[in-house]
Order: sequence, then structure tokens, then C-alpha cells
Amino acid sequence: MDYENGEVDGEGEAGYNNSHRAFLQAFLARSVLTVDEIKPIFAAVQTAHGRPTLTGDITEPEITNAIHTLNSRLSLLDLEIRSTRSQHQDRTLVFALVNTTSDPLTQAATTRTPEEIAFVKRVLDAMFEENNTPNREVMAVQRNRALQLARVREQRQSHVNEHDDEEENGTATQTQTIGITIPQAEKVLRDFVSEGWFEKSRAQYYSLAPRALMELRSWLKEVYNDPADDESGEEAVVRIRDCEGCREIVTVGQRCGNRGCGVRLHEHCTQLFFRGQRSGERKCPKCKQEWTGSDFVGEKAVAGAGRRGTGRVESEEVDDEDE
Amino acid sequence: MPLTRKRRAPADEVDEEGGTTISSTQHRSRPSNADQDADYGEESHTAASGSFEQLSKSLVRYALACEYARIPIKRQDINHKILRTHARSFKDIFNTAQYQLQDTFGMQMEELPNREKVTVKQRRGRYVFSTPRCISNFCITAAAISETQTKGSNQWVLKNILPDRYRIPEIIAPPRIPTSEVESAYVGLYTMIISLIALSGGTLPEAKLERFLKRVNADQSTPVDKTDKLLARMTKEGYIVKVKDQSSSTAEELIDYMVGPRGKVEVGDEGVAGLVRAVYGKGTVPDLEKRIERSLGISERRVLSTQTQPTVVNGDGAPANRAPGRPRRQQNEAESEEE
Repeated sequence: MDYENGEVDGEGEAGYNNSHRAFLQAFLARSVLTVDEIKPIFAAVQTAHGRPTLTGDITEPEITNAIHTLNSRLSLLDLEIRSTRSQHQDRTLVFALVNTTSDPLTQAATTRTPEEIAFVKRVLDAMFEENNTPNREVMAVQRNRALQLARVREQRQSHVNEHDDEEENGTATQTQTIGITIPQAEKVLRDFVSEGWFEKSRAQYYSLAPRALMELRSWLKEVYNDPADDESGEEAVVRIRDCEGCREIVTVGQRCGNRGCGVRLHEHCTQLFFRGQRSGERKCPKCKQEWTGSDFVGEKAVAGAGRRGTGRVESEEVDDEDE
Repeated sequence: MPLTRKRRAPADEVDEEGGTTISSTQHRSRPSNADQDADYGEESHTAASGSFEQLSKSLVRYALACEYARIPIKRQDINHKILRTHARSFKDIFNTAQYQLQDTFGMQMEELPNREKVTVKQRRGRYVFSTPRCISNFCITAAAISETQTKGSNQWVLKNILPDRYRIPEIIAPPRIPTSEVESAYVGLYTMIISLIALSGGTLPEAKLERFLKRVNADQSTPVDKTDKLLARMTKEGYIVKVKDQSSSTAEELIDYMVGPRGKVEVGDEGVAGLVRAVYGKGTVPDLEKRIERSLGISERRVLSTQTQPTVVNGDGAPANRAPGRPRRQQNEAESEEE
């Protein structure tokens, strides 16, 4: 092979060259980047590629183009650089290199222990089940509550065996306390924030950051949305909904005032969405009820539900509701 | 290069872990199985997709995943987890994956050097012949030498092969595992420790290392972790090797540090020379380059490698490091054991 000596040729097919490779490596190292973080990197890559460029010269279309070129290569490997806008008012454009399939091999890459991963799963459950009821779609979890999840009592053995027919009668059911220590849990949460998976609000709520939403888009729906079951007659449970405007998942935004209606919109998308309606009316596109603009999804839903008390009390109340 | 950080989607692993209600599509379609290794890719990689492309794709993804966790890419694991019944095609698939890594990412899998046989016990062991200075009863036959030399370690790590001008911090920052800052500190610390070892002739007694670390106020704790944990991590990840020598006369345990396989590939002479140049600065020492070469024994190794077998990517480190004239320690006499 020509590559034996470690020399990569400059220009490959379809204009894929070292500048793309360098840009991709930058993504590999950081995995999630805002558009403002990309600009200086992109400028540095161009400069290294022999075209001195300043950060200010970089335009969004240039970035999008380069990413398009990268994606044509990455798709062969089930990888993709996706972009999304933050759900908050700043609407920062965020890019992330995500895995379009997940398999045990890449999971082995984790630097986390299984116990830590189980903890994260409990935190996610708290976000999307415990704190995401028809009345209040908080989709975030308070720090205190998250830390409570560090250790849980669980009937572990019996559970595993349901899936493992061969050993079903081999192990006895036993209750045991499993999990990680509080300091470990604190570190995991801290790391997940700095790695761009979680966001932490000023009121100490953890929620999913854009990177997690991009990567877990389909996984979240698969896990937390239960389709209707005709046999048992169970109704579908939809815990994760898309924005009626931009079709991205809403974990922070507004909801239709009608509790039974599934329409959700990002804060920003409401403006665009209702601009299109006649006579300044703001009506839900599905149930035609007046759009209140004061029914929220996300942390604001805590206050929106008219409850008093501290956050901790809130989350405990939610517990009770669920049971 | 830790591509896989993104793969570490919290959820992905979660479903593995509990094996409970949650499953990615792939998992859902097959019965839950406690043994992940055995169970990998049951449908997606044998029946429909045992194709060449699928296999090389898996290998690329596996390589990126390993790099993220700083685990070497092992041939055994590749055969076991990816190729399975196609293990005979290893070479072709490896080459294809290698090409993809080079062409798409500007990286390649670089074979790690074999572990050095540093202690007498090891040298008397299976590969007795790795050192020309070996004073055992075994004779060194040409065949034995060439065997140890041509047989690679069958372990690889990813290495950046882009030209230097792209390899600047503005472009390739220390990855966020968990944060750029911690990672930078870690890279800095292992580069420093590897340099200290390399410049001390390839072996550094523990006491000496401690003294060096004390000078930079890193003998107790560092920005990454407690010093002992830090050294343990470096050892685990193959940056350094800890060699315990049980001195036969004193029964005292002597601990030496040497540069590990990953350290040799990732930092290497070039990295060490770079650090020295940065510390001394340009033009301050007239014959700096010569001094660096001499301290690292580069010229001697060059001579040696032309004499022997230059074919192996990294060769067997042993003969090179056993170059005559370099400060060598008591190991020939010592009965010893590597940790």
C-alpha cells in the first residue's frame, strides 16, 4: 500500500484532503463543539493547509460544507456529525460527532464502570419518568435527587434471570444495595456536564445537553415511549415529544394548555410558528385550544404547576404521584 | 484518538448493563445474553454482514473505541469480537481498515513494541534470546533472534499521521476525557515522566523518580490524581512499565520504571526530544541536538538496527535498549520478577 510509510497523500478523491482529516481529528478530540468553538479551529486548519485565514473570516456555510464532506465519509462507518440548536434562548448552534448505531464494541470504549453507567441510567429515568408526568414535564432532575440515586436497593438477581432462561432456577432472589458512593456520583455528574452530556441549571437541575439529545434522539424515544399494546389494551405512553415547529425533541419549551394534547414547541419555535397564523391568533395546531404560552416543559414546569416549596420537596412529591 | 467518547452515550451502555427493559434495536431483536463478548453482533455481523466492508468497518470503529479508553487494539480481540469465523482474512481486513483510518482520519494503527525482557527470569523464559548480553547458558542462535524480532506484539494503538503543521493545539486539543484540562495535565505528566526515564538511559529507579517528582511538587498529588494512582494509571495504559527486581543478596525489593510500549509509540524519542528542546529553548545550548541524540542513545540504536532486522515496525525493544555503552544496571545479576 502507498500508505506504508505513514505518508498521507494530500488530495484524495472528491477533494477530501488533510484539512478535512485535521478537522475531523479536532472533532474526535472534542466531540461536541459550538459554532463559535469551531471557527478558530477551522481557521487554524485552513491556515495549516496553506490558506492563512482569520477566525472572523469563517462563515457558517463554509463549516457546513466541510461537515457535509466529512459526513459523506463518516456515514460509511455509521458515524455522523450532527448539528442542533440549543433549546435555550441563545439558540447556540452545536455540532457533535455521534454514533448512528450502537453496538457492544463501541460501548467497551467507555471509561466508566458498569455501576456508574447504571447510576446514569437511574438519573435518566428520574428525568424522563419520575419527573416527567402528564401534569409536569420537568425532564430534569435536581442535584439532590440525582445524588440520592447513587445507591439503590434492588432485587437484582431475579431481574436478570427473567432474561436468562438457563440460569433461571440457579440463583435466588435477593435484595442488595447496589450503586456507587456519593462522591463518585458527584464526579460522574460533573464529568457528564463537562463532556457535554448534561447541563446543569442555576437552580441545580440536571437536564440533557444538546450533545446527548443528538446522540440519543432515537434511543430516548425507544426507551421512554411505549407503543400502544393491542393485546393488553394498554394505551401508548409518550414521554418524549418532538417540537411541532422544528421536529427536534423538546425537553425545554412550551406545551399546549390542554393536558391531553401532545403538541409541544420550543420557546423560539413558538414565535416562528404562530407568526404564520392569521390575525395574531395563537391556537394549538391540533386541538385548536388557545395557546397559553405559560404551560412549560422543562424546569419551568416546576413553578408552572403552581406548587410551592423547595425543589427537594418537589421531587419527592413527584415520587408520590408516580406511585 | 478518542472518537469514541461520543459512543459512550450514557444510554448505550445502560442497556447493556441492566439488560432490563431497555434495549437498542439490535438488542431487542435477540435474546438477552449475559456474555457480551460472545454475543456481539450476532445478527449484524455474521449472517447478512459478514461482508468484507462490514468487517473492516467494525474494525475501524473498534480501533477508535479502543483508543478512547487507551486500550491497545489486540489481534486476539479482533479475531474474537469482530472476525469470528473470518479470522483467516485478518490480514486483508486489517489492511482495509488501516487504509480507511489513514484516508478518512489521518491516523493509523501502529504496532506496539514487544515487551522488553528486562529481568533475568524473563530472559530465561520463553524468549530467552532477546538480549545479546544474556549471560545464561543458552546460546543465542540467529534463528532465535530473528524469531523474536519478526514476531510482532499483535497489539496496536492509533497514531496521528498528519503532517506536523496540522498537529497544533489550536486544531487538536487534548480530548475531553473528562475535561481538556485534566487530559492536558495527564499528557504533560506522562510526557515528563517518560522523558525522565528515557534520558536516564531507559531505566529509572523509583527513588530517583520520586526525587524528580518532588522537585516539581508532584510527589504526593497532581492535578490528575494522587501520584501513586497516577503512576498506576500510566502503568496500566502502557506509558510506563514498573519492574520489580528482587535483589538476591539483600532481599530488598528494587523498583525501576521503564518506558512502556504505548509510551514508546505515542511519545517516543521524538516526543522526548521535543520536550527537551522546549525546556532548553532555542540556541541556548549550541550542541543541544547532539546531546539529545546521545542521551537517548539514538545513534547507537541506529547502528544496531541496521545490523539486525529493521523490518518490524517497532522491533523488539530489547536489543536496541541493550545497546552497549548505555548505563545499565544490576539486572544481569539480579533474580527478579516483573510486576
